[in-house]
Amino acid sequence: MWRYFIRKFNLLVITIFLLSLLSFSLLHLMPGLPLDALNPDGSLSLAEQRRLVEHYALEQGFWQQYAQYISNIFNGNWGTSRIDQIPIFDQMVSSFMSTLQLAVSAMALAMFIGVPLGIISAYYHGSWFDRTVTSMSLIGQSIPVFWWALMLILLLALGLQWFPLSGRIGLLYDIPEVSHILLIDIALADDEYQRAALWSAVRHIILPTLAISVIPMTALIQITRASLIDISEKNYIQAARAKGLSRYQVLWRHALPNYFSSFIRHVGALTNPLLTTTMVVEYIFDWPGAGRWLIHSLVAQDVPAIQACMLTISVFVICISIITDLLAAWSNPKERNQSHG
Amino acid sequence: MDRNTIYQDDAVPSITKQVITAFSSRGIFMVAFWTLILMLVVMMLSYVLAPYHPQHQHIDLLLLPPSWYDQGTVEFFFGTDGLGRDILSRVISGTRYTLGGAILTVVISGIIGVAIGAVAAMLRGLRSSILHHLLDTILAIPSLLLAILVIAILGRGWDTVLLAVTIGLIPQFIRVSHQAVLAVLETEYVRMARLDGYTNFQLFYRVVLPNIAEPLIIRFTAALSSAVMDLAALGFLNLGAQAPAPEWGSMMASGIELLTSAPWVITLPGIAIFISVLSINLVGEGLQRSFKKLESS
Repeated sequence: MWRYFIRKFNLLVITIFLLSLLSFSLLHLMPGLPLDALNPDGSLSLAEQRRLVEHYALEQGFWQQYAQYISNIFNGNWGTSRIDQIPIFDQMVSSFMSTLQLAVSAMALAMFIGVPLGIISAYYHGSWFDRTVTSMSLIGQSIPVFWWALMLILLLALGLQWFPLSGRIGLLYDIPEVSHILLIDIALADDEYQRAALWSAVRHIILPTLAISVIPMTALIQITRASLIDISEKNYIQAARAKGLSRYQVLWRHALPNYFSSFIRHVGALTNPLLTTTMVVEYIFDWPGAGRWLIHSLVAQDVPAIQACMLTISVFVICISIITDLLAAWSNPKERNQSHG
Repeated sequence: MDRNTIYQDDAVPSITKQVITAFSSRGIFMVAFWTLILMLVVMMLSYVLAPYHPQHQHIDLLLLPPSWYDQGTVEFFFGTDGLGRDILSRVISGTRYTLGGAILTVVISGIIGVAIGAVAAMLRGLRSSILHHLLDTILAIPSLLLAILVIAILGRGWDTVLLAVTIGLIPQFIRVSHQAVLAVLETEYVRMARLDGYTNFQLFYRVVLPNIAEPLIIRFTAALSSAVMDLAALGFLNLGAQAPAPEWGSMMASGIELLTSAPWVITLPGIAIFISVLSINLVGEGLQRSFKKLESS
């Protein structure tokens, strides 16, 4: 286990180094000088330009600049956004936390629905239920997520008016951001409209959650079904059946524990599509998250913000993948012997 | 039938033939296959098939509903958009952007990715572990984010988006071909071929490549559907094909303000994306099952 841990940790360090190098070189890869990239419309005064040069150590060599960039990141001094003059670090924390809330709630919904559906359709393999679920998951896999989100808006928000159109809470509520997790913030806020605010927040999160969860849900259905069918052909399942256990007992005592030992790895592999989907859906629902911020700063050519988003999202993905690998290896020694993680 | 041939056994059909038979035995996969072929034909003949020029604005016929509505006319089968452009013509011309672009990016990234993956697998050792670390880094970046990075560097536009999606697809191809080649190199027939004196190139071309066809073909179809999705998503986010181009994603983006008054402007390109992705996925699923059948038989 320790050898595995060290190998994975080594991988993590190297990957984060490469990612930070990539994010740093973004400034140099932009057309023109780095200072032009930071100041695309030439509106900054000379004093402001000098401050930027100092902040990024622009008159020094490449590696000194990189060292400066890294020390800036660790000091929490990520620069200020050119557009709204907010410190990027604060904006990044609050928007990434709201992205995470959306992604986690979508993933939770996907697990609650996808895994049981996958189990049932594997148990009744070949029945009409199985066939319906399989074809529904193929359809769900092929739906363009932005189109699906717009159809949800059209039906449930504009047509039936059940849910609000966009944003994450009604404009009337002023919740101070303490922990950056909206539900906790509402609970902490000393407000007479606490309950109404909570209700408003819940109503706001439902539509984007529904829109995002299609992708992980279909993936989970397919993975669960395929691996349970795979497991059911193994010898130990045949042995259990021959011993006289019923199919139901076999499922609960042998097939499911074996499936859930690799479950965490499957969930980890879904982080990447989950975040991609969340980015697009945030843009549609005007959810103040990292994806929407990234797209807006891309249009506005706000380089420090793009760097911050890219670094945060990709470091998050690699951390999740390493953590799930470690958890899988910790719970299942067989996974430790892979030559390449 | 006369069975008095000198050979006692029935002829074993070639692998390609077996896959085709297995594939065509299921109706739904054939429907998907022919839908895809039809779309390719429409893509190639889009100049001829489109009833109007996709950019032509019928100024007196703004927001005409599709023909199945009461106010619709048959001349504009899918209706018109906010600038009076015929949506049917735009959807037909859009195949060239969304579908054609996807095919182009997948072919280019496939060739590059398979070449890199195969070379890395044939030359083992230090280089292979460097490749793995690089791959893990690139795979940690979601493909849409990678595409957005390329767009951030090169600016928005159709050419950039094609390049961005190509770059985003390469890592997956490298990973799949690398693993497949490594698995094949372990087998005994490769050792036989080596003993026969094959050079590395001959070995790859004659022995390895036919044996990694299955994972590669499946990866190609998966990449094709994700390329269609990515191109349309980037178009939808206004980062891809720019305004007048009839790319399906950007057509939907331009219809957002009309969501309540003219839902067909968004719905129809969305259905076009959905059908093409669905048929690609179904063909991929069918191929996967046919290969599986081949292994179990």
